[in-house]
Amino acid sequence: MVAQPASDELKVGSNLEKVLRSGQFAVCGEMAPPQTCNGDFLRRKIDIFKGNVDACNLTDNQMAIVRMSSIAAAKIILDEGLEPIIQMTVRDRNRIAVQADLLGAAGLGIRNVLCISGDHMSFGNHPSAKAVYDLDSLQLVHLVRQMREECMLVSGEGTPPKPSKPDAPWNKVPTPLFTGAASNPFGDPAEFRVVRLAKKVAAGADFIQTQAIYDIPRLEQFMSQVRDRGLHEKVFIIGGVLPVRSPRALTYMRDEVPGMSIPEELVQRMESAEDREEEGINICVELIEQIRGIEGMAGVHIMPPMWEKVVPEVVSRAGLLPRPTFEGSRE
Amino acid sequence: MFGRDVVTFVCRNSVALLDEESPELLGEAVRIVVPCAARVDALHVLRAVERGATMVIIGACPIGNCRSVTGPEEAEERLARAKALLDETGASARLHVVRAAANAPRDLEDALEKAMGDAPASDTEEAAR
Amino acid sequence: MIVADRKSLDDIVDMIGDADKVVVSACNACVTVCLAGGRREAGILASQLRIHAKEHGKDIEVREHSLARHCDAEFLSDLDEELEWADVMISMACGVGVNLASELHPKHRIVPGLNTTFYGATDAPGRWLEMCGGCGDCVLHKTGGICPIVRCAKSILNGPCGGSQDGKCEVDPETPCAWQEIIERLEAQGRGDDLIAVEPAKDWTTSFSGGRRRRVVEEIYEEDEEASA
Repeated sequence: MVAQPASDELKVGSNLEKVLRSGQFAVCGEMAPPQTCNGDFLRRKIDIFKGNVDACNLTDNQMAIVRMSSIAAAKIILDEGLEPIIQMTVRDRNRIAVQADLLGAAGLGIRNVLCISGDHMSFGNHPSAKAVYDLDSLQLVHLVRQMREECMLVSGEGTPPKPSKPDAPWNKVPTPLFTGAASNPFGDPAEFRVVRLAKKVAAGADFIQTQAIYDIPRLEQFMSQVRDRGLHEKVFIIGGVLPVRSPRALTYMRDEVPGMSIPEELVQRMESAEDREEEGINICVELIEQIRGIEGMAGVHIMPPMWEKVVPEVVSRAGLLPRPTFEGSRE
Repeated sequence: MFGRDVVTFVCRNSVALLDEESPELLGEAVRIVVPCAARVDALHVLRAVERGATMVIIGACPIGNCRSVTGPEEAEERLARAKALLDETGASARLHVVRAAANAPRDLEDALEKAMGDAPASDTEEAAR
Repeated sequence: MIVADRKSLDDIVDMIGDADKVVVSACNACVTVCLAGGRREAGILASQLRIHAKEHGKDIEVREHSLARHCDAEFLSDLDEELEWADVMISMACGVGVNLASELHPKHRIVPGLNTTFYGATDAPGRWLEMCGGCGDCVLHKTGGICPIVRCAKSILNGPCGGSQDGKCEVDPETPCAWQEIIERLEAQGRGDDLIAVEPAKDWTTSFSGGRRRRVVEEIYEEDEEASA
């Protein structure tokens, strides 16, 4: 059962948007850019994702550890024929840099952006950095939509046109970015999570990617609240899955990562499994099938940290192949 | 037993009374009578060291037997603070809390003997436990 | 009030260098209340400096001194005599005091003994908590009196972020999530719906990135014509 947000009209025409608006269950991947300038680090992984996912997230200095810029990394994979979703945090950029980077990304042919606040710098390798947080993630969502729909910057420049500059460029050119936001169905305060999702939709989110899902009953509760508000008809909700190879990975997330809900049953399954890689894939495939069965879920976002090569098998076993193609799409 | 290079802050409800009965225990040490061991601040300890004390002793009541309820515990915390401040300077005076009730001269004698023998940190830590 | 922390003795020793005559000047206002720069703390620092000098075979003279407030010019003239005598003054005031004293005594070396940290209040004896960031554009009426600018690690105006768990902030499990607190307070006041509106990007022009801020009450302030000429 796939969400059908109201308009069928393409806003941007990214592959991800086409898949979602065509009513098909979308598949996103995720790559972390290298901690060096080595672009081959990304190129080597292209074949793992190409043809298996509709678009691939490129993280923005995740865990506040310095990596290749998500936009530069996105350009590298775009040139290889894989559609990127750039993640953009408000941790490192003020509104001037945010807008400059959005213009640059769109200018390079990038069409999807996920707007997030970003992991706090205290977690990373530069804890002494000065925090920016000029905008918050919701304001970033709003800004991206405003640049696309109203050709307007956050300052309001562009509307109304300055009489002296009727042809000012920012008045004319939309910035075509399919706008994503994050949501954590398992975060606290639980009742407010749906309200915040509604705020992200109101701010202009086209799609939502969720925190990694292991707890299907809690996801169902969340989605029931989402449907009560009709949000699934206004935004495409893509569920996160994170395949693991060891019980320790699960207990680490349970104990150390804020906003995670890991059922004990899954930990036990991983502990008692003879072939842990195989069991990890089994669990991931089952989760995808369960997520797909929930009304209002429009896709999955497979996030395999350091285990990208599992993606083809997961996608295949979840029955999500072949991925749709559209006339005029890039090869 | 002690010379003039030892400065003691003694609680008037316990160790000061013991000292009146058995002045030989503190020997020649400088005595400053305080209303409660908790009255001793890091500043008092530093002032003593600054003026040449090689050892500072706070004479407190036994735990649970303090007129101000938590005097001996507070004295430990203040002394730990004083120790941290003193460590910053590179000086190495010995700082101790000794505890004895007004009617227990043996306790005071034992505690003082221990203070004489022990390295400063371990004594404070042990007492804190 | 303004809350501050003492700098380490090593940092202070580095700052005063080879000065032989040092005055430590306490401030009897905020920093006395937060046990950072009052007479007691000035006494501790002076004592530490003397002990340190002795330990390191140096001969320095340290005087202790205090003022009612270092943030008011009328009190700072009391420093004249001490500054004439000293090679360096260690101010135990907040950064306001160090600035003003340096401005009024530009020929003298005045160094900070404290790191000024925040605008806060006493939460319990011995503990102070940040309450305000002085952003110049107060939003407390929208957030139940809880400042999201300084009490949220990401200064989020539309919170909470995904890291809020069990009412705590992901950045520091000792810190309550400001947005959890905001939501709870507004809901308790029956104003939960106030949080549905998207709060737009904040105007930071009133905050601290535009150089020194000033406040002028026109009918009171008389510009010094000679100075401005």
